[in-house]
Amino acid sequence: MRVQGEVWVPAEQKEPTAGDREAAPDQDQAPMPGAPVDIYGPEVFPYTEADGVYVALLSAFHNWERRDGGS
Amino acid sequence: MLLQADAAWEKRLRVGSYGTVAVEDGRVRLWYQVSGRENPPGKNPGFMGVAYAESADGIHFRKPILGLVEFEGSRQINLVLPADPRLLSIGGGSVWRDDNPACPPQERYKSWQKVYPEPGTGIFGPHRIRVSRDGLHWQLPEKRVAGLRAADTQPAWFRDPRLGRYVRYSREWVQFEGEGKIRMASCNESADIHDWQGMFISLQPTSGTSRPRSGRNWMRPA
Repeated sequence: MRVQGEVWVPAEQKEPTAGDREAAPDQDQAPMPGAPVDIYGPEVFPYTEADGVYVALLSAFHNWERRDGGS
Repeated sequence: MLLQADAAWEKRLRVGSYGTVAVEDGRVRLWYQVSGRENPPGKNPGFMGVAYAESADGIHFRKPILGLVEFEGSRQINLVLPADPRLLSIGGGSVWRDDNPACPPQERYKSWQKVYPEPGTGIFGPHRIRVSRDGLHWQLPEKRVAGLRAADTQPAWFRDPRLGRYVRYSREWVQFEGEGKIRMASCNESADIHDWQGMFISLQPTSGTSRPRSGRNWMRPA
């Protein structure tokens, strides 16, 4: 993901291993390699301790698919 | 747990995702979203609004009886928006205090909302700004807003002293690589909160890391 030109999330996502799936509470779901990320509720505000600095505390929703092919 | 839908009038409601906190005169003020517990797939809850609570320490909140809005036959509640829940619901009700010295006192507080009118009411939306002197009593300004973008996810806005203008950020559905739609963040500016101009996408995923499949909306319903 790029934010104002800066890469802040690794471009590649790792396919979960069997161990990952066992540890995951939602074992019927898996992250989708290369799936898009939704940006949701972008909380942006000026950082008052420095001039010209803004902070964004946004939610990034990673998209998952069900292992049975559903959504 | 700081806040629950535990007032008698909230028994069929839940505390929603969006809220605003402000510290003023030694008290913590909280505007929080309430919405119906029933949420049919693909549809919004039957009711959405904004309620108000206060705290001395930011941990223990009380819900004052404001008597401003009637909800299911009672005014002995702390609901502040919408003014008449029989006519409309309000989503993403972001409350913000405008400390611009030129701001009229009766518009010191502002709320940017998505309006869900009941059918046949003639109320228009979808996105409106309401203003208030105290954050409790709200009214629509006479001038209708233009160029304001979506507010159903909680938007952010402020007056930027560097620019001398109001700036806002919210979510934007964007066609992505000609196939799917995903949410990104957009931004634009206004001199007076009424006319918003120059919208652009300010936060977005890169095309190299994202690849939606054809015809699918990859975001689960809000």
